[in-house]
Amino acid sequence: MQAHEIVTTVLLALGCVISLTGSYGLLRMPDFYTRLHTAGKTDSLAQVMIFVGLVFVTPDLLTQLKLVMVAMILMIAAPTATHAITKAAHLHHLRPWTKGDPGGEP
Amino acid sequence: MTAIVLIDTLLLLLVTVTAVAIIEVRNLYASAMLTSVYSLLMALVWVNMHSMDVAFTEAAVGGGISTILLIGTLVHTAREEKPRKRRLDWKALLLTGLCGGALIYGTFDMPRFGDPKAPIHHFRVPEMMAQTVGFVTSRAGKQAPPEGFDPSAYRSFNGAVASVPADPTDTAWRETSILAQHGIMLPKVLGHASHPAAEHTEAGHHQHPPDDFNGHVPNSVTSLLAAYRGYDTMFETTVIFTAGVSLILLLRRPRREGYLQRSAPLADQAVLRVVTKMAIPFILLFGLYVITHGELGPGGGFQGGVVVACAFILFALIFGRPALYRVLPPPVCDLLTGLGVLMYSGTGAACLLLGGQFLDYSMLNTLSPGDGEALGMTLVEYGVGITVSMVMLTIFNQLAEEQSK
Amino acid sequence: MTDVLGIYNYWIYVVLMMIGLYGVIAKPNLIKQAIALGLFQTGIFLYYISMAVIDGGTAPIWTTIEDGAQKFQGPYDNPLPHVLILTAIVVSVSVLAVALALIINIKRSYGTIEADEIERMDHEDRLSEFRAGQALDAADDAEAHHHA
Repeated sequence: MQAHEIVTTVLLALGCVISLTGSYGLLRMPDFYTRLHTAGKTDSLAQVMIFVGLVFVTPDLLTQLKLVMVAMILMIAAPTATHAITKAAHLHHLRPWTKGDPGGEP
Repeated sequence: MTAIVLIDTLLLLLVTVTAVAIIEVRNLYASAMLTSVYSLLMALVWVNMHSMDVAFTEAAVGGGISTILLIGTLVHTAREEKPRKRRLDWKALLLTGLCGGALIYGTFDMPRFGDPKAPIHHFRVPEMMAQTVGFVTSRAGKQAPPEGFDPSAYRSFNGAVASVPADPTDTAWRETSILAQHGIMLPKVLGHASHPAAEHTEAGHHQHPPDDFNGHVPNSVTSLLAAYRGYDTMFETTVIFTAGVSLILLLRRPRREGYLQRSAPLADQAVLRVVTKMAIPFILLFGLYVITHGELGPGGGFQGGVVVACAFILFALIFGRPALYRVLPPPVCDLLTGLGVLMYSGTGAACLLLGGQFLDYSMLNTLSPGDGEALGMTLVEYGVGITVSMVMLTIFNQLAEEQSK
Repeated sequence: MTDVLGIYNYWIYVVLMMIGLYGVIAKPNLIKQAIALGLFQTGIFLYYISMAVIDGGTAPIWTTIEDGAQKFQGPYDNPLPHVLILTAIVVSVSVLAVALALIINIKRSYGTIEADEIERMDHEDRLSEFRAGQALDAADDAEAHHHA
C-alpha cells in the first residue's frame, strides 16, 4: 500500500469509529442535551474526516477541490444544525438532566 | 456474490427496519423524521446501483422536500396517532402476505440481478441510445462519423429491428452493438441497406443527424429524459404545475387580517442568521449549477430546481415569510410557475415553427444539429428547473400559513 | 427457474412494497397512509432500477479521455429505467403534496385525521339526515290526512 492509501485508510477508519461512538452515545446518554452533545460533535468531525480522507485517493484535481469544498461546507453546516436544535429546545424551556433525576428519558 | 449485492443487502436491511419503524411509530413527527432517514438510505442504495441521477433526485426530493411538506402538515394536524386497542391488524397482514407471496412467486421468472443477457438490455435500448445519444467514441469533443458509416441508412432508421440474432440471449451481439472494441456505439442493424433513405426525405421531416452528441451531452439519462422521452418530461412538468395549483386551490384562504402575518421568529438568532446569509448565495449558485451541468454529469432540472427551492425556503424560515414576499412576491412566483412549462412547450413549438417536429431540438441549429440538440435540452431543463423550484416554494408557502381562526 | 441467490434481492423489494401496502390498508391515520404510499412507491422504484444493473457496469454517463482507450472498459448500465424512475419520484412527491393538502382540509372540516372517526361522523351525518327526511315525510303525511 502506498503512503496516500494508508493516510486515506486511517482517516476513513477514524471517521467511522468516531461516528460509531457518537451513535452509541445517542443510546446511552440520559437526556436531550447530552445526546445532542455527542451526536452533533462526532457527526461533524466524522463527516469532515471521511471527506478529507477521500481527497487522497482521488485521481483528478477537480474532484479533489470539490471534495474539499463539500468538507468545508459541512464544517459550517453541521454545527449550525446542532446549534439550531439545541437553541430550539432551550427556547422551549427544556430542562437539562441533573444528577439525581430519575433515569433520564428513554 | 458480488460486492454490490452484499452492500445492497446490508443497506436494504437497514431500509426495511426503517420502513417498519415508520409504520409502527406512534408519534407522527418521529415518523416524518424516519421518512427522511429512509429517503437518504434509499439514495445510498441508488448510488450502490450506479444510478446517480436517481440518487440525486431521491436525496433532494425525498430527504429535503418531503420532510418539509410532512412537518408543515403536522403543524396543522395531529401530533400523535390515536392509540388502537389491537396493535396488529391480522386481516391486513394476511392480505399483504398473500399479495407478497404471489409477487415472490412471480420473481422466480426474473433474470438474475445484473444479468447482461436480460431481455431489457436487448433490441430496443442500443438502437434508442444510438438514435438519441449518437456516437460514443474514445475521444472527447465532436467527432466525425467513423469510416464505413452509411449516413443514409442511419437516417432512414425508423426504429424497426432489421436483423434479429438467432439466439435472443446472444451476448456477443449485444456487446458489439453497445460498446464495441473500438468504443463506437453503433448497432449492427443500422448497416442494413434495405431501408431506403427516400422514405424520410419528404418536406418538413427533418432527418436525424449523424452527429456525435457525446461532445455535448455525455449524461445519457438527461439526454433520454429531454429528447427521447421529451413528451413524458413535458407532461411531468405539467403534473408538478398541477400539484402547485391544486395546493393553492385547496389551501389558500381569504385573509381578513391582512396579507402579511407574524414576522421573523428566527432572525434574532445570531448564528443562524449569519450562517444563512453566507449560505444562501452558494445554495442558489449550486442549484443553477446542477440544472446547467445536468448534461455533463448527474443532475438536471428536477434536482437543481429542488435545491433552488430549498434556498428560498431557508430564507423564509429564518427571516420570515414577509421578507420572502418582499424578495419574491407571490404574483411573480405564480407567474414563474407557468413560465417553466411555457419554456418547455415553447421550445417544442419553436422547433415546430422552424420546420421540424414538435420537440425535435436539432432544428434549433441547422448547421450543427448536435449543438441544436444540446441547446434544446438545456432550455427544457431550465424550464423544468424553474417550474419545480417555484412549485415547491408555493407548496411550502401554502403549508406554512397560520390558521386564520 | 433462476436460482435463489440471484433473485433474493427482489424478495426484499417485495417485502418493502408489502410493508407500504400494510401501512395503507391497516393504519387508519391518514398521514401514515400517505407516508406508507410513498414507501410502496419506493419499493417499486427499487424493483425497476435493479433491472437496469449489469454485472461490472457503471453509471450511464459516457466518460472519455483525450486520446487512446476508453476510460471505462465495461458495459454501461441501462439508462432507460433511470429515466422512468426519475419521473416517477417527482410525481410521487407531487402526490404526497396534494394528499397532505387534502388531509389539512379534512382536519379543518372534521377535526380529526383518523379514518374510522371520519367514517363514523359521516355515518352519523347520513343517519341524522335520513331521520330528518323521515320526520318531514311523516309531517307531510299527517297534514295530508288532516286535510282529507
